[in-house]
Amino acid sequence: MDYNNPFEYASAFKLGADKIVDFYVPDYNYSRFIRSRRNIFLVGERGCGKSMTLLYNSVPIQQKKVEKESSKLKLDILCVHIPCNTPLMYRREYQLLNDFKASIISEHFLVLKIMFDIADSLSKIPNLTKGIDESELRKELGFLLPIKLPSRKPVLDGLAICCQKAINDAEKVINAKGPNVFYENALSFSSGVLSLLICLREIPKLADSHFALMLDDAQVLNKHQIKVLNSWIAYRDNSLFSFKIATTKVDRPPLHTASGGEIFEGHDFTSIDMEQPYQNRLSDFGKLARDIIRLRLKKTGISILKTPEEFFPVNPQFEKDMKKCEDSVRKEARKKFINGTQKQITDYVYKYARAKYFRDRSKRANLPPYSGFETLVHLSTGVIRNLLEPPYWMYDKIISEKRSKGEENPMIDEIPNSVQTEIILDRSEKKWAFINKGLDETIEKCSREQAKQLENLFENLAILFKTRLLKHKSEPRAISFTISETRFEHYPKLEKLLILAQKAMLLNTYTSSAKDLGKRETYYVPNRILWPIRGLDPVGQHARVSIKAVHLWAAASENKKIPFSKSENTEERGLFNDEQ
Amino acid sequence: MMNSNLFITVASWEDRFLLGFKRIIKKSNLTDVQMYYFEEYAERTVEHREAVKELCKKKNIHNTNYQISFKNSAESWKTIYNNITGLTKVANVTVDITTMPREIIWTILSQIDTNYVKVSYVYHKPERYDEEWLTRDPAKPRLVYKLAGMTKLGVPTCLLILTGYDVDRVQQLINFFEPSTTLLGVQKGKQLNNLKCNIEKSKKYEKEPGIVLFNVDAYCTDHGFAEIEKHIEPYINTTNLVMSSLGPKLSAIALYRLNRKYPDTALAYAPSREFNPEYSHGIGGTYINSL
Amino acid sequence: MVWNTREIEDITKQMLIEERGGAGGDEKFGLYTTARKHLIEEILPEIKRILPEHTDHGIPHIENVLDNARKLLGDDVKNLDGTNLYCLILSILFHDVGNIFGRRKHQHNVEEIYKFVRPGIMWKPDENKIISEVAAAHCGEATDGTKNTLKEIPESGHMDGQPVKLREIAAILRFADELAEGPQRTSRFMQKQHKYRASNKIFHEYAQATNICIDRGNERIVATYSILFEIGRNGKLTKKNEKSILNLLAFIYKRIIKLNQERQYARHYCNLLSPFKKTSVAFNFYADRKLLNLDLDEVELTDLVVPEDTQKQFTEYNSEYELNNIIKKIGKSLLKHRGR
Repeated sequence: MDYNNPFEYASAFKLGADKIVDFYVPDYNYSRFIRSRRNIFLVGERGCGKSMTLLYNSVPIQQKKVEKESSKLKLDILCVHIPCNTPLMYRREYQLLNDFKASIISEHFLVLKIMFDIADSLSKIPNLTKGIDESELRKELGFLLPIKLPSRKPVLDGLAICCQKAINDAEKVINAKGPNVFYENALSFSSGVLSLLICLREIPKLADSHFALMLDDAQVLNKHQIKVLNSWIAYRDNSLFSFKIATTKVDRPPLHTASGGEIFEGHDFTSIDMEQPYQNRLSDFGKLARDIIRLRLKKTGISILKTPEEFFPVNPQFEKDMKKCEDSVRKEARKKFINGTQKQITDYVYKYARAKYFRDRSKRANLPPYSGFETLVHLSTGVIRNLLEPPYWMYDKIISEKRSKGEENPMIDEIPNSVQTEIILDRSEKKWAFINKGLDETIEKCSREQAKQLENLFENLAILFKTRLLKHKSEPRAISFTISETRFEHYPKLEKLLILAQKAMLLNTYTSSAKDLGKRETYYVPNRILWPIRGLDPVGQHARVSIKAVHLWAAASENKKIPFSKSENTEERGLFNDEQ
Repeated sequence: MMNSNLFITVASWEDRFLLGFKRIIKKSNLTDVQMYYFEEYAERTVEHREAVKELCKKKNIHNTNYQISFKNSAESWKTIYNNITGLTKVANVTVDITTMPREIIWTILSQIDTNYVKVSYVYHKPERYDEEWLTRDPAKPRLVYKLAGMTKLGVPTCLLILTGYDVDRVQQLINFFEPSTTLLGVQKGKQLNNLKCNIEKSKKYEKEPGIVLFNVDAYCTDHGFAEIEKHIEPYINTTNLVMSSLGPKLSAIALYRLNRKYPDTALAYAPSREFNPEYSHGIGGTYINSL
Repeated sequence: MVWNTREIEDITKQMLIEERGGAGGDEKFGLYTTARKHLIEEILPEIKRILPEHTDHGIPHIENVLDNARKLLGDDVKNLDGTNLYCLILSILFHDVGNIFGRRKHQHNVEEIYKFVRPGIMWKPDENKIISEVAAAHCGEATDGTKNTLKEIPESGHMDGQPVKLREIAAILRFADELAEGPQRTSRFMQKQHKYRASNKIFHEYAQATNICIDRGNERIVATYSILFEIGRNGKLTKKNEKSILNLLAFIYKRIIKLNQERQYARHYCNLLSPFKKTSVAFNFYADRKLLNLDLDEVELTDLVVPEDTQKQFTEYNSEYELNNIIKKIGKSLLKHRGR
C-alpha cells in the first residue's frame, strides 16, 4: 500500500502505531465505555472498527500518542490489547481430551496469553518500575509461574519471556503423540491473571490502576475458553479489571458460563453494536464519517482547508438535474397541500424528488453519475471499511495516472466526479461478481445450494427495489426491509441464508422499536454498494419494505419475483427512530 | 519393484483409487491392508471397498476397514492413532496418498514416522480432473492435531498456501488466519488444466498487498521442498508460520517434511464438505518414493 | 386468547404420565387444562377491569410466574413428582384470581373462583384445600401479624393418595411471583399519558425499570434496573427529573432489600431453591436513550451474616449508590457529554 494514500482500509493491525494515532476518530457512542470499568462486548462484522478502537486505547498506542504530544500517560485505566486470532487459539488438541481436561488446558493457554499481553503492554511504559526493588517484584512474580524470571532483564520483559516459555512447555507436552497427554501445571484465571494483577498493584504507580483486558476477535476462542471467560465476567470484582470483548455479530459467542449459568446484557456486560445505521449527515455515523475523512485528509497533508464534500465533489450535471427535480416536486407539493404545513411539503420533496430524477431518466441513458461525499457515506452502509475502500481506489487511480504521465510527487486536491463514478460502479460490479460466482467457495458453511439461493435472493431484491423506485406511490426509495409473518415452515432455512449474507458482508441488520408496544424489531439493509450498477439510488429513504417470509423464501429457493404493489407494504419511519 | 508389508489407503469412488490399488497389489508383497473410509461417503465408496476386499482375499492379504468421519476429526484421529501405534511387527509401510485428505496424510505420516519403520508413499495422477468443479462448501480451516507447532507470542502470522484449482479458497484461508504476509506457491506447468484453473486464477493476487507469489513444482523429485524452504526461511523465526496445501497431493509431502525440519511451524487443513462425484477420471502415472 | 404452553406444563404432563400411566396422567392433566381454560377465558382478563391502576395480574403475569418456577427449579424439577408439579402449576394459575374481588386480601379469595371452575361433582376437596392454602401464603400477613405466611402452611398435604410438599410448593410460588416483575406488567403508553393514579404510579415506574433474571447456574438472582430520563435543553438534569429519579431510586432500593429477603426466605423453606445464594444488582442510567457511564459497580447481596450487624440498607452495601452521589455522577457524565 502506498503510504500516502490517506484512505488505507487495511485491518488496524497492519496500519502501525503512528497511523493508528493519526487516523483514529473516537465515536462517543461507545468510546467512553472502553475507558471505564464496565464489561463491554463490541459487536460487528469485519471492517466496522472494533480492532481500531481497541488498539487505539491500548497501552502501547496511548504511550505513542502521549510521546507525540509530549505529555504523560494516565495510569488510572490501562487497556491491554489481547488479540485472539493467533495460531495458539486455533490449537485443537483439547478435543482429544475429556471435557474437564480440555477445559483446563484451554484456560491455561488463554491465561498465559493474557499474562503475556499484560506484561508486554506494560513494558512499553517507560520508568514504570523506577524506584522500586525489582528483585522483590521478580521474586513475587516468580511464584506465579513454575519458572524463574531472568534477573538480567527488566522485570516485565522477563515476565513476558517466561509466559512465552510456559506456553511452549505446555505445547511440547501436548504435541506428544498420545491422545491423552495432559499438561499438569496448568494455570487458571485466578492463579494466573488475577494473581498477576494483584502483584502489579504493588508497583506504586499502578496502585490504583484498573486493567481493561481487551480481547479482540473473541469469536475464535473455543467453547471451553468462552465459558471460562463468561464465568470471569459473571464473577468479576470490577475494581481491579474489566473485559472489553470484540466479536463478530454472526458468530458471536454464547453467553453460558462454566457452571451452567449465563451472563446477562445490561447487568454483567453492555453490548455495543458497532454497525450503525446511517440516516443522514446529522446521525452519529454521519458525523463520524465526516470526522474520519477530514482527519485523514488533514494528517496526510492533502488538504487542511477542504471539506470532505469539496474533496469529493458531486457531478454538476447531477446537481443541476436534482435541483430541477426538487423544484418540480416542490411545485407539485404546493399544489397538493394548498393549506398544508411546511413540513408536509418538505417531507413530500424528500420522498419524491430523488425518485423523480431516477424515474425521468431515459431507459437508454447511462447509469447515473454517482458521486459526492454524501453518496460515499450512504454506500458504506454504516461500516467504516466500506467508507474508505472506494476512496482508496479512487485516489490510487489518480496517483497511478499522474505517475504514468511523469509526475513524481503528484498532488491531489480533489477526486474528480468522473473518477468517483467509475470506481463506484466498478466496486458495485465486483460485489455482484462476488455473489454470482459462488459464495460457497469462500463463505464457511455455505453450501452450493445456499450460494445459489443467495444469488436469487439478492437479484430479486434488486428487482423489487428497482420496480419500487420507478413505480411505488408513497415510498419509492426504500432499500431496506423487515420480514413479516415469520411463522412459516421454511423460515429457519431463510434465517440461515440471512446469516450467511451477513457473514459475506452483503447484509447488515439493525434493531429498532416497532410501532407497537415498544418492541424491538430487526430490519435488514443490503450492502448499498450493490445498487449503483443496477441504477438504484443508494441514498435510500427512511422507510422499510415489509416482505413476507414466504415471499423472500420463494425468491431465494425458486427465483420467484417478490410481489410488488404500488401502494402497500411499507412502514415509514421518523428520521431518528432507529436506536443502537 | 517394491517391497512392502502394510499398505494404508483411504477408499474413494475415483477410478484411480481402484486402478491404482490393482497396480500396487500386482507388484508388491503386501501382507496387510489398512483401508479407511469416510462415513459421509460410505455409499459412494462401497463398490470400490468391496472390490479391494475381494482382491485382498484372492491374494491372502489381511484387510481391515475403519470408518472415520469428516465431522468428527477427533475420533478419526484416535482411530488412526490406535491402529498405527499398535503396529509393532511392521517393517515396511506404504501410504497411498492419492485419495487421502491432506490432514489424514499428515496424521498418518507423523504417527508412523519412527526409526524402525520404512515408510514409502504412492501417488497416482488421474487422466483428467473435472472441468467444472472439484470441491465446494468449505468448512472452517483447522490446525492439524499435534502438528500445530510452537507459538511465538507477539508476532504476526505468516501463511503459506500451495494453491490448487479452487483458488478462491485462498481467500477463505486469508480471511481466517488474517496473516501479515501470505506466500502463495503456484504449481507450475500446463498439466491437467493447471494453466486455466490455477495459474491464471492466481494472477489476481499479484497486486494484492501482503501477498507474495512464487512458482513451485510438486511433481519434481523433492515435490517443491527446496523452493518452498527458500521462500519461508525469512519468516520462520519472526512469525508464526502456518502452512497449507490446496495444490497437488504431493505438495503435502513437501509440507510434511518442512514441518519435520521446522517443528515450530504449523500445518493447517482446509476441509470441504462436498466433493464432486466426477472429481477425476482414469489413471495416469504413479509416483512412488520413500519418505 | 391463545395460550402458549409453558415448558413446566409439558414437564408436568410427562411426569404425571410416568407416575400414573398414560390414561391416568392424561386425565389428571386434563383437569389442569380445563381449569386453565376457564381462568383464561373468564377470570384472568377481567382482573384488569377491576384493578385498572395496578400492574398486570392477568394472563401474561401467570405465564411469567410459570416460566419463573421452571427456571427456579432447573434440573431439580425431577425431584418433584407429577402430583407435586400439578399442584404447583395449578396453584400458580389460581394464586391471583382473588383480585377479581378487589386487591385487599385477594390471596384469601381463591375458593369461590375454584368452585366456579370446578362446579358440582368436579369440585375436589383436597385440591381446593391445597390451592387455597398455597395461594394464601404467597403474600400478605400471617395470623400473628408478621409476613411469615409460609410457616402457617402445613409442611405436607396429600392429593389422590399422594403426598404433596405443600410448604415447598408455596415457597416456589411465592418466590416465582416475586420475581415476575418487569415492563411486561405495565404500559408505557399509560404511563406517558399519566393515566395511572398518583399512588400507583411508582409501581408502574418500578415495573418499567426492572428486569429480573433467574441464573441458577451461577447461583444468583440477577436484578437489572434501567433508569430512563430526559435532559433539559441546556443538557442538564431538570429539577423535576432529578426528583423523579430520586423517588424511583429510593423505591427501588427498598424493593431490592425485599427481593433479597424473599430469596433468603424462600431458600429457608424450600431446599430446591437453595442454589440461589445471592442477589446481584446493577443499574443502567439512560439520558435521552443514551447510556451513561457512571462507573457504578454491581452490588451483590449475599447470605453472609456478620455478628452484631443489623439489617442493611441498600446504600450500605455500596455507598456509591447514595442518592446524592448518583445525582452528582449523572451531572458529571452529562457535563462530559456536553463538552463534546
